[in-house]
Amino acid sequence: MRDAHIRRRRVVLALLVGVSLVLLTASFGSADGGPLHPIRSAAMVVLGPVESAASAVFKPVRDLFGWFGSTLDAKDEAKRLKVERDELRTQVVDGRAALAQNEQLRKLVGLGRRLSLADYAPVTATVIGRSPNVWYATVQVDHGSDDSVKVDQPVINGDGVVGTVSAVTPGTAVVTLITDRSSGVSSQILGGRRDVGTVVAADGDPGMLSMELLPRGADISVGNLVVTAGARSGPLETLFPPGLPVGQVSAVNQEQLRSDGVVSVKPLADLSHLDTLMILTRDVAAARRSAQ
Amino acid sequence: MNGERTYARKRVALAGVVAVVGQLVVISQVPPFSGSADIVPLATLSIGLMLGSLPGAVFGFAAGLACDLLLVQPLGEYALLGLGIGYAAGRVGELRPPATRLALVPLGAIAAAAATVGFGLLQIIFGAGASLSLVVVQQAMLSILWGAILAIPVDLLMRRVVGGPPSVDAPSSSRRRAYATGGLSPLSPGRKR
Repeated sequence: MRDAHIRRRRVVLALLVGVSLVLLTASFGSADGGPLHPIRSAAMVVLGPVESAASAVFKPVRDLFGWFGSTLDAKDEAKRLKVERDELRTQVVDGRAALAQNEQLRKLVGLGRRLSLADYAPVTATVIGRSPNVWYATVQVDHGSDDSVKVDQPVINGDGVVGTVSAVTPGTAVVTLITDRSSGVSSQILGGRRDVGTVVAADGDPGMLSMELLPRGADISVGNLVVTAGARSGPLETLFPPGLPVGQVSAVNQEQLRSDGVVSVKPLADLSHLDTLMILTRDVAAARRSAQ
Repeated sequence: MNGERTYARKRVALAGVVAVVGQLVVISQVPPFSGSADIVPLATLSIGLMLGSLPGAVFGFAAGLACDLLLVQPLGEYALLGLGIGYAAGRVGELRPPATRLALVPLGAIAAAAATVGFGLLQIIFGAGASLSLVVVQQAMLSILWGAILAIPVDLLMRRVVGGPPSVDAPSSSRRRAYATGGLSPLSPGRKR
């Protein structure tokens, strides 16, 4: 019985192997399927609809797997795009900062050419720190005594006067802004009688200035430009070259102007967003000598 | 008795349809498996282990021929490979049946490797212009990996469809080696008493 079964098994196996080899030989032997083409066509006709029906039945399963795959792909894509977005954002920020710096430098160069500031040996510096409270209007810059920066030297930016150097180390300097209570700049009103006064920090408004010591009967109106007069209050030599823009008259109280000789001035330089500054390292007298 | 055998053969045929259709309309078209996983050799392995060498060989031949026909491959290629895999699996089941289900993992990898390497060999033998490249090797390795991973799930599915023993983990005392029984599978003719 067992022998018969083994014999039967061998016969079936040999038959199947033989059929396989015949099919293979026929398939590889002819380019278009040859004599097997009708068999294949018939099988396709019979099995095709079954396959189509099964495909339709299993479509939700494929869609489910596809959804998982798409979700995973989407997560990877989102992660990659976030990294790319962060990189681009950094580039945009850097680009904008460079543009702003470029604009400030252009203004500085333009102001320097207009006012012939080259005689004052200007040193371009970048703001690296700022006083964190409203009591002290100071900023720290990245140039110091190693670059000939000294105390009391005037500091400007592309818009106008910013302040004066108040402390120096070899590599850094502290600039006291014109809105600080310790500052005072001898200035002149452009227009009218070109009245002269002193620009100081305004009372009660940290970002604003007042022009004091104006003569009685001064002819001043809102919008007049205020520039440095080229002379400092008191007996000392002037610190600021003449003609540097300081601010613009923002309010004129005629009664107060008559009685106290005071008008309100808004600084031209945006003192809350300082970035690139220019320190004039040669004083006015030396500059004059150099120019001669 | 004949009724039972006919019913069992129908279940095996149904398992073949499930394997072939599942491969063509699901596995081949689902992203993680597509292009590398093939459950037909795994189904053949399962049937061979479950029923013996002759049913395994016939199942592998039939399933392979169906794939050849539906995939417009050279006829007889997959059939011959299925025949070999089914027979080998059946002999393993007859002589040294797996003691645990985990044994299906290496067996699945071997079945997948046999299918992948066998295809390549047949292509070379019949001069179909097959060439070995790094990508082909990577794909083959992936196929083998999928074979190892899918062997147990496919075996469970086949056992459910055919109605065979639920698990190869059944106590060994309750199993008798087929060659010792005189009957090689549930499909074999019963012993005359």
